[in-house]
Order: sequence, then C-alpha cells, then structure tokens
Amino acid sequence: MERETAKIDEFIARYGLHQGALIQVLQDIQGEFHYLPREALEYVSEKLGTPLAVAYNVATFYNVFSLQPKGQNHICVCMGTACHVRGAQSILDKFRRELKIEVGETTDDLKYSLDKVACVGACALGPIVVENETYHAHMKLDKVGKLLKRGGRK
Amino acid sequence: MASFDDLVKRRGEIAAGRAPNRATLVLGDGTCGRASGSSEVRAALSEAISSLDTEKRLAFRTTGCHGFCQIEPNVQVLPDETLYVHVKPENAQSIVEAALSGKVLKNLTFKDGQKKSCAKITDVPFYKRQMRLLSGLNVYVDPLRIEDYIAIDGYQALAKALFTMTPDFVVEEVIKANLRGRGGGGFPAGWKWDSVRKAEGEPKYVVCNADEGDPGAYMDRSLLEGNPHLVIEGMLIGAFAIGSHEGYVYVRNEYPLAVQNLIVALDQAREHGLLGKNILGSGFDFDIRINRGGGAFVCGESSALMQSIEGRPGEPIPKYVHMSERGLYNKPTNLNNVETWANVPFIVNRGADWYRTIGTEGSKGTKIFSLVGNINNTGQVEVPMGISLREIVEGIGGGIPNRRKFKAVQTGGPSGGCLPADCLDVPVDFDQLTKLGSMMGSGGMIVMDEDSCMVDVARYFTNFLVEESCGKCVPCREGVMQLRDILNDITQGRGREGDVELMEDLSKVVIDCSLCALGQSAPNPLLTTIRYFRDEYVAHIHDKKCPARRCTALISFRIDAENCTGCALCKKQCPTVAIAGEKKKTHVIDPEKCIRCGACFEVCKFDAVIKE
Amino acid sequence: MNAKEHTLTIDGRSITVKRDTLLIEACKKLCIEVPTLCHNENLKPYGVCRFCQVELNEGKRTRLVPSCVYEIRKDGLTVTTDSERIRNNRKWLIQLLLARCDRQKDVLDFAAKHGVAPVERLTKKNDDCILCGQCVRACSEIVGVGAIGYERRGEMREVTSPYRDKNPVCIACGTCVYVCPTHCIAMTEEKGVRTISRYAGEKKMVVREAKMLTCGKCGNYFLPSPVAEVFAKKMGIDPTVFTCPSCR
Repeated sequence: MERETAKIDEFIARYGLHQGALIQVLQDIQGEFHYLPREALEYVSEKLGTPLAVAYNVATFYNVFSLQPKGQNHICVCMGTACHVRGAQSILDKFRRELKIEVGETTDDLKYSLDKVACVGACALGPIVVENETYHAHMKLDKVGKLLKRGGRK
Repeated sequence: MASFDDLVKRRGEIAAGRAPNRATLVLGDGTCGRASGSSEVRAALSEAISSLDTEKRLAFRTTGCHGFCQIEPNVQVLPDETLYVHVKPENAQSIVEAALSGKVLKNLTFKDGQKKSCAKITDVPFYKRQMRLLSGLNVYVDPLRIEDYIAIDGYQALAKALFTMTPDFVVEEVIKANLRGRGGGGFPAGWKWDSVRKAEGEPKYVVCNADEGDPGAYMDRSLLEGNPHLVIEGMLIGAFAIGSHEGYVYVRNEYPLAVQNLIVALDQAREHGLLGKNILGSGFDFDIRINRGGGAFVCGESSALMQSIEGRPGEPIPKYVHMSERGLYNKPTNLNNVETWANVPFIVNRGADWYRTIGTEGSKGTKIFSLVGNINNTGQVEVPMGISLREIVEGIGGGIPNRRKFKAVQTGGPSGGCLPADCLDVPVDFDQLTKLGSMMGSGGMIVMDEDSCMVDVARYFTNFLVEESCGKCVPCREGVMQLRDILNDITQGRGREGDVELMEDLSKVVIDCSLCALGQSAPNPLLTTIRYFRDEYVAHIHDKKCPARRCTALISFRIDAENCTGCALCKKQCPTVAIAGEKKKTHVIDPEKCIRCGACFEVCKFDAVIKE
Repeated sequence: MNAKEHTLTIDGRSITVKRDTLLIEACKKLCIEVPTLCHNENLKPYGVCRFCQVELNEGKRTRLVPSCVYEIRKDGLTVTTDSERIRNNRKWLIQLLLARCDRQKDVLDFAAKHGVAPVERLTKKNDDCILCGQCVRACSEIVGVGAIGYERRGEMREVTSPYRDKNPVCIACGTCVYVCPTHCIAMTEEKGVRTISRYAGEKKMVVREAKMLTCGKCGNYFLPSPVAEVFAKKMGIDPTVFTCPSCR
C-alpha cells in the first residue's frame, strides 16, 4: 500500500486538503487503479478529514466510481436517446449474452467489464460503444462478435 | 500581455505571420470526428503536406466539430469554403494537390437528395438555413492554439469591458440584450448577474454548467471542445460585471476531450495574461478551476452541481433563498450554461441592440440544437430563435431517411416531451414549446420515425430518470419508480385497464411534490405521449399489441417462405439456435426459442424475416 | 431591506415572527400542527418527506413549499395549510410509502391515522426504512461522528455503515435507534455487549459491537464503553469512575 499512498498523496496535492477535493482525488484514483480500493478510500477520507461514511456515499453515488476492479477491456454501451432509437438496447443485450455478465459486472478472468452510459455526446454516430478510450460508431449486432474477438487494446 | 494595446499588437503580429491568400485545410477533429476516423486522416494530411514541402503555401488546422457530424471525417478548404465529406486517409494526397492548384475534387463533395454535388458549404442544404454565429467560429480555431482565437478578435470583448466599460454597464447590456439561459431554464442571465452583483458576501463565484446530461444533446461538448476560449472569455466578462474573482467549470466526466482542451486553453490564457492576477494590466483578478462530474445526470441541477463541487453526493437541496445569495459554499453564486457564457462576448463586442435583431420578441439570439435520431442530416444546428420545427426537421435535417414517415420529435431531454407532426409549424423558442407540453430545454432534438413506439419512448425516459434520481425525496424516488414499473408492465403485455388514468393522477403528485426539477419534470415525457399518442397506450393495454412493432414482448418474428433463399445468414446470427433449415431451403423460426432480439431481421438481405 | 420581523397570515390568522423563522415553526406558534415524517427540531431541515408542504401565496402566484425548510424573509405571505390539493398529495405520498413498506407497522399505523388505504396496482417492497434520514443526520449533527450514511442513489438508496461493515467510529450511543420513526435500527444487549445493527438473516449489517461498562458500585452494565470514553476525555477523568443512575 506504500506505493499507492505516495501516488494518492500526489493526487491530493493537486487539489488541496479539503472536502471539496474528494471527488477529484477519487477520480484520479479510479483512473490510476481502475477502481477504488477500500484502503485508498479509507486513506483519503482520513487525510481530508471527511467521515468514511461520506466518502463511501460519494463512492457509491457516482457512476464513474467502482468498488470492484474494472476489466482490461472496459466496454461502455451508450444508451442515450438517439442511440436507443437506433437499437442500443439490443446491442447491450448481445454483449450481456456473449460475455455472460450483467451491466456493472466484470468477467471472472478480469478481461471484460460491461457498463452502460447515459450519453457520450456523439449522437450522430449512434449506436456507440466505447471500449476503453476508443469510440466504435454505427455499432451493429453482427459487429459485437468482431469487437470481442479482437479483444485487446488497439 | 499587460494592456489593451498589447492585445491589439499581438493580434497584428499573428496576422502578419499568416500569408493572406494562403489556402487552409481544416479538419474536424472533435469527439465525433475521431469516432469516425479523423485521427488517421489527420496523420495522412500532415504527412502529405510535409512531404510535398508545402508548409508555406498551404496551412493545416485541426479543430473541433463543424456541426455536420454524420459526414465526418470532413475537411474544409478555406478561403474557398469547399467541403469534403467522408474523407479517408488515402484521399490526403489528392486533397493537398487540389488545394494547391485551386481545383475541387468532385467525388469527395456532398451530394444532395438529387445527387447533385454541393462543393461549397453554402450550397449544402444542412448549412444553408443556419445562422452559425457561435458554432461557426470552430472552423477558425484550433482549440490548442490561443493565437487562432486572438486572430479572430478573441478577447477583444474582454478588453473592451475591462478598459472602456463599468461593471454596471456590462450588466445593463446583458439585461437589454435579453440573453436567456441556454441550459433549459431560460431565465434572463442579466437579472441573475444583477442579483449576484448586489448580494452581500465574499467571495462571489461564477460557475459554468457543462454537465450537459440530456441524452442526445451535445452542443456544449462541441463548444467547449472546439472553442474553449469563447466560453472562458464569457466567464471573464461575467466575473468582471459581477465582482467575482473565482470561477469553476463543471464538466461531466463523459467529455474527456473537452476537459483536456479546456486545461490547455486555461494554461495558455494564463501565460498570455488573460487569466489570473492583474488581467491585461487592468487590476482585475480572476481564475478558473475545472471540476469533473462523476457521472450523475442530477448534477446538472444547480444546487446538486454545487454540492458536487463541494465534494459531496450530487443531491439537490430545497432552497428558498436563491443561489445568488447563498450558493456555492453558501456564498453568492452565478451559474450559467456553456452556451449562455459563449453568447456574452458577442453582446459586448457588437452591442445589445445588434443582438436584439436576432430572434423573437421574448427569445433573442440564436440557439444551438442537437438534431439526431431518425433524420437524414444529423448534427449541430444553430438557428435564430423563432424558426419553425418544420424548417429544422425538413429544411435543415432533410427529413426522414429510408422513406419512413415522421412520427414525433422529442425536445428538452428527459424534462421535455414528444410532439407530433401537427406541431411542426410551431416556432421554436423558450415559450412556444412549453405551451404544447414540451420545452426547448438545452437543445436536444430527437426525431423519431414510424418505427418508434411512443410508449417505449416514455418508458425509456422514465427509466432513465429512475436511474438518475438522487433518491432523497419520496415523490421522485417512489413515484417515478412506480410510473416506470407500470410502463414496463404495459410494454411487456401486462398493462391493465385504468393504468393510464392512474399514471396521470400519480404524475400530478410527482410534479407537485418533488424537491427538484428532475422530479418536477419527470412525468413530462409520459404525459406528452399520453396527450398526443393515447391510441398507442390503448393498443398496448387492451389489444396487447405494439403498433410500431417495437416492444419485443408484443411482437413475433417469422420467415416468409416466398422470399427466403435458404442462405442461413439468420441462422448464424441467432443467439438461441431458434432457426432451423437446410441450405437453400426455407428456414423456420421456433417461436418457443425465439427471444425476439431482432438479429435475423437486421441481417436478412431478402426481406424474408417478417416482424409482426 | 433586512427587517428583524415579518407578519404573515396562516389559515386566515395573523402572526408576527422573527426573520428566518421556519414556516412550520410559525404554524406551531398558532397551534397548527403540520404533519411531517423527516422533520426534527434538533436537526437541520431536510425537506424530503414532502408531507409538510403548504400552499404559499406571495402575491403573484400560489405554490407549494415544504414548511420545514421555508424561511420567512418577507411580509405579506398568505399560507393555507389544508386544502383539497394538499390532502390529495398527502394521500398519494402515504400510498407510495405503503407500497414501499407494505408490512411495516409504523407506516401502516400512520396510513390508518390518515385514513389512507394501499393501492394494489403499485409494486410492493417489504422495506422497513422510509429514508427520512434522521438517523444519519443525528449521528452527524448531534453525536458528531457520522458513523452511518447513505449508499448509492435513487431506488437503490439505503442507509448503511461504510461497506456494510462494522464502523469503529460508532460509539453505540443509540441515538439513531431512538430517533428512527419506523424502529428499523436494532439495539440489543447480551452478555455485556451492545450491538447496533440493521436487518436480520443474510442481510444483517452490524454497525458496532461495544462492551458495556459496569457500574463501580453495583456491578451492573449501564453504559457502552465508547460513550464513556468520549465523556471521560471531555471531562479529563478516568471512565471507570462512572456509576449507574440508580447508584448516584
């Protein structure tokens, strides 16, 4: 945990030692470790002087945070209105069937995690699936299999 | 830069460094562009230009969105205003050569409905009827280069305000211009500024709401990604007028490129003396911090947004003392939307009188809309207020694709409603749409064709709001959830007599009793669809049928023996092995195994799969 | 203009109050009892149950405001605490709570008191908590330790300890237990140990198990030791010095 503590201290230094920094620090931790380890949350709440119950509330309130590790390939299916109208639900259902996990879960081998997101703001190109940082536009049901076969960072 | 003169001098230096008649290639490289492959085109164009050793004769600029998202990657050639669509990396060489010789590559131009080539942007139907006052600047600005913004008179309004105007005068101009909040509330920005200016308490804060949670709306993303300095300048002017020295931009987490570009822009502004202490030598201090959202639609609500900046869960607070008196950290706070801030430099530069010439009596200026869904020309549309829905959907949007018919247009996001074809001639502004039960909202405009089920649309929005509700108050947490459950029942064939009346009664209570605007407007999608599409509800409940053939529990798929060629494509796609058949012989779907995912319907090339 | 007092009319009767007085308090001064589930005089206003909503006319329009949160800061307000609209809204709010806590005695009693029957069509959930937030707020504002809080949001919102695990900052004082209107937080004592918990069976969540201090004189258990430690620290004395109420 020592190396992690040093990294977390770095993050805190960016925003300052006060409650207002909580969400920004947690964002950096989520970005770095791909989830919020319990020890990290406890450490941050102590450092910022916030009760753990409040930090835990923040960690479970916002979609961006996860208390469980995300997969190597984090798949986000956009479920915005424009994408919904173009069939996003069936695409999400296909991912669920293929990966055998529910939204918010990660496969046992930690290779894939599946999430849905309300809207990524690329509505003209829907249905959109974001895989890590890559945006896959005009998604179709038969493209789902191809995406999963490639299964790795580009 | 430490004075007004320095700014003018710098602008002159930048202009001098640019050959006046040099052609410029402009590539749209925003989030949409990149999702379509603009990064590869960018690399190819850079290489083509450097390999042909043409840097002196041809400039290359990468920018944010140009608005016509579906034809991306797109390249514009200035000053001719030639537009190339669906550009691929292999086109790079020819584009560069054509630009140098002043030729136009016809094969890459936009083809209209009659397959006619529209070489110039002004010929393209999508652009013709727009008034791209704010969004049009994206083409001239690389968001990572402040010089581009200064070159087009950027920060001129700020200098004008700081050195030739008083804060009171600036507030009066904004009031006179009747700039109304573009985030959906439509509250006169000038009055808000005035209240904050007069409120007691220090420090005073200005906040930019870039949470843009309405699914289908991304105008703010385009502005923030493509021209962050426009928004920064607006905030600077507002801060000067109000007497604030600290600002926040609250950007939703799902817009990483906007955050990146904003960080660079803020740094460059500081380097140039436009942000921080003693701005342009005027004695005025102001700086801006960025706060990333955590993925919660409710944080678009002002009190929830401020809770989030304070490091708490985004739960709205019942406030009967305005934000202008007790807002962020209980201090006077002025919060405005991205697009609202972006309008401010124009008002200061050209005056409130000029601004009032655009728009209608109650709604001045332009509005950017996100025109998406089942529409031919999808993208960001900027028009003067008062233009009709029909002009937007048909004139600019080009109507419905695939020869389907228009059914409804959803405006105002989850707080808004669905309007049918009868309402198409209504002028779009803050007040007219509200009269019909919907609202303009932040500008999302989702067009739906006859294949959309309006009951499913209501269910979709209601479910969205259930998932985004903070859960604090009883009417929203419990009420909207119950509405969603009944809608689920109806779309899955379990609707009961009296459901519509029950939902109408419950909706009234949710509207009356909810703590914040999320709950108060949650029943709108449901109520407008009942108002304009009641027959669909009746069909789902009485006849257990979905007229649009969308609700999977109420439809079935079968294969038409006449059209089926036995190619087995459907069989390969079927996830539950519900399709049987030998090669070149008619295939059959087993209704017991079929989960109605629609994969076979999507993949069949012979129209042999029937959905009923 | 910051006047120190304001005059308003509630149900036709006039009253003058200090500026920033809560509307619900003004009603109380006139012996008008406004029903509420989440309001507690000892806690900061929360405004989430929506029962205390009254009709407020400020001259231009009438709107509903939660009286537990609304501060009186101007003159000329006209308030109506009972009307068809208010009664209809309260009826529905109770029906929503009946659906949520369809077997919880306190909620059933509350509904019966207001003459409201459940709506069969609504989805039922056998919950025992109405999320009034008094426990969380009391622990944070009065006790000052903030041992419990909320988890998630929307229909998934629940009151829990962090990670649904024991939280050492809880001093087992029982304030949350006393303040809960549906008695859904359990406090038990066995063999000298006090346990604060929620739920039963698989879902059981224990917030704290605290040893009880014995009385120096009679030897009976009477105070959780973490509470004794808090007081002892403040007073600068040894906690074992405390004696139980009967022996004092």
